[in-house]
Amino acid sequence: MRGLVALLALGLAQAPSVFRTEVELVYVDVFVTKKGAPVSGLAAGDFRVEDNGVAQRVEVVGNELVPTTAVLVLDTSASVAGSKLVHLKEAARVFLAGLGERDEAALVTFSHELMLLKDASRDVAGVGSALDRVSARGGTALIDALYVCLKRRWGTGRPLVVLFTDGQDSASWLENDDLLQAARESSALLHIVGTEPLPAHLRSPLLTLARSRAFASTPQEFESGYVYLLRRAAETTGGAYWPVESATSLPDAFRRILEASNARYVLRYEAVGVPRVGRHRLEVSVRRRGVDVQARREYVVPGAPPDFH
Amino acid sequence: MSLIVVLGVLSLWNAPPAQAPEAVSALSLGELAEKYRGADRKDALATVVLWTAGRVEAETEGLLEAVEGAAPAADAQEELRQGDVTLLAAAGLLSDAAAHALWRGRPRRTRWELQAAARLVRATRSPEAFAGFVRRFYLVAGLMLHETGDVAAAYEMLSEGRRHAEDDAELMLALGAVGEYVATLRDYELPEGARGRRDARVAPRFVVEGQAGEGGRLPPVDLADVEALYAKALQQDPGLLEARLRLGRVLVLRDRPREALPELERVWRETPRSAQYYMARLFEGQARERLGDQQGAAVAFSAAAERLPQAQSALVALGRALDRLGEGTRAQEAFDRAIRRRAQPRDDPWWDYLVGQPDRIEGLFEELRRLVP
Repeated sequence: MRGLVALLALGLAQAPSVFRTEVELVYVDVFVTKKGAPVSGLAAGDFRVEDNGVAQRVEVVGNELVPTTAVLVLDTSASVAGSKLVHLKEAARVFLAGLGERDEAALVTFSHELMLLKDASRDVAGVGSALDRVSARGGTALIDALYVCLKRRWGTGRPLVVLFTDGQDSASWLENDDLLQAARESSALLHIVGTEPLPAHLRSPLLTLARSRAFASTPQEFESGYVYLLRRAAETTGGAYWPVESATSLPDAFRRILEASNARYVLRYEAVGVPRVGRHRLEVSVRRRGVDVQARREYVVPGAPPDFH
Repeated sequence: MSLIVVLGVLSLWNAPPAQAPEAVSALSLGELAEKYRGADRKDALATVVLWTAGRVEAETEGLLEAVEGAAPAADAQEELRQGDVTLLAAAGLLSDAAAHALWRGRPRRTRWELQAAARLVRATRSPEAFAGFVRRFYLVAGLMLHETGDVAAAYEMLSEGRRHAEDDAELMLALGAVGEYVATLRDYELPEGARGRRDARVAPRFVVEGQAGEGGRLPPVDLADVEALYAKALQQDPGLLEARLRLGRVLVLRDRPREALPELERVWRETPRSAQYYMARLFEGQARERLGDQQGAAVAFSAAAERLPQAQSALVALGRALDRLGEGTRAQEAFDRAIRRRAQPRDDPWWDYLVGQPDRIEGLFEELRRLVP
């Protein structure tokens, strides 16, 4: 594991491209749950990681060695104004209060405009103060905002991007594909909290009943194409899409994201036996029965400009 | 879509009309229309903007009945003409009230005032005698409806306008812009690879409330229709740079970037307007990306960002292009500029582009006022 000491001194995973340092070190955030509850106490030998089909030798990096740089990206378009914004600020404060001493935080808001209100630092209280200045107006350029936040370098810790949105994009320049590409290339872990209402044709009581039953087996069956896109972007990074029924549930959703983040395993390996540049498909499993594993599914190491056609 | 309502009308109508004077508050729509034709335009408007939706509907109905039931005059032609004059003046007054509502950020009011105005225009017996007013009415009403986000109503209004003036280049341009919005909305909402996949689990498209009209349907238009409209508008008026700009974008979206480039280059070389230059450069960048010319794309995006340094979209596009080129440091600089800029409400023309031509409404509306018979 040459270069490790130097890497830690320089700051983790903050190379321009995904996971890259002088040595091809790959970091993977892994959530392991059993019946919805986090599974603790796993060691490196419990994990199996395949990078483009080639088994890798991994180690578990302790959370104390991997401070988090949390980037809160909040939708402040006009539809958020009022009580929703109050609950959103409360949720953000709940999240900030749960960060560790070595963690960093940043605050970005977006309507049609993208605004950095507080850059990443350990001044978490300063982020709280910045929240006081947040107001809601305008349209929604979510994809532009998320793209920039996934691509931008943040602080010195493992970047964790937590985005809230309540509606559909109406003003972005970039397209869906750009977002998914950024999710593949970014070293950030992305969680998205969404309150997008169901389409009108799915709001009847009968359909609600059908939906509640269907959710047990196919939870995404009724989601809009837009939510599908957001969920896919989050899951690409190893994160998740967290739907909430109403704004009052936002603090709880943010709390659960924090808990999941604190309970995650950070695996590290030096990629061997695979070409460095290009798209890497990841398979992460745990040698335990009955557990669910959530982790990044792929990453990209850019080399020559890719063919986009 | 609320962005548009807020952003698009900030510069319209320097001041709202004064509060309704007591003396005119009980007047009918027909009587107010006469005042609107004369020197009391502001008083008439100040009364109508205070009416409820029910009052507007009742007054509209009453005026239609009054005009249709008017006693025969000695000169039937003159009677018909006078009826039409009253109807169109009332339509102008209601349109003015709709514009006022748009300015105040009340898109729903804008919509029903315009629908009432359109009923009056439809009831005129000789629209051809007032062709200038009629074609301007449909154009302005369509542009306003587009800006409120009700693209279904905008499309209907502009299509109706074309039945009166089929070869009007500006109507074709405005209709194309609505179609362009709808067609790209459809493409945009479906995630990558989801179309045509049985296992994609994508629910039927989610129509945003207010965009689809009462029937919940968007106009059946695709980019081929839009391209044809822009091309025909340019045949009528080759100097219509907005149509050329939009044609360029549609050609890019239809995977014909080589055809788009000369159109876009002509726009940015000819236009003295920063917004059109900026947009043409953005679309040029998009065309060059599709041709695999990442370097050329970066140059085009950089030119757009240079012209409007506070515009967010050019900086985001430039950052992405540089990132693709492997120029990480410069890409980070572009992202940093995008995220740290201190924006003004209308500093990115891309946001206006999405809802038609909001910057044209004010000028066109002044023309409409002058054309009130």
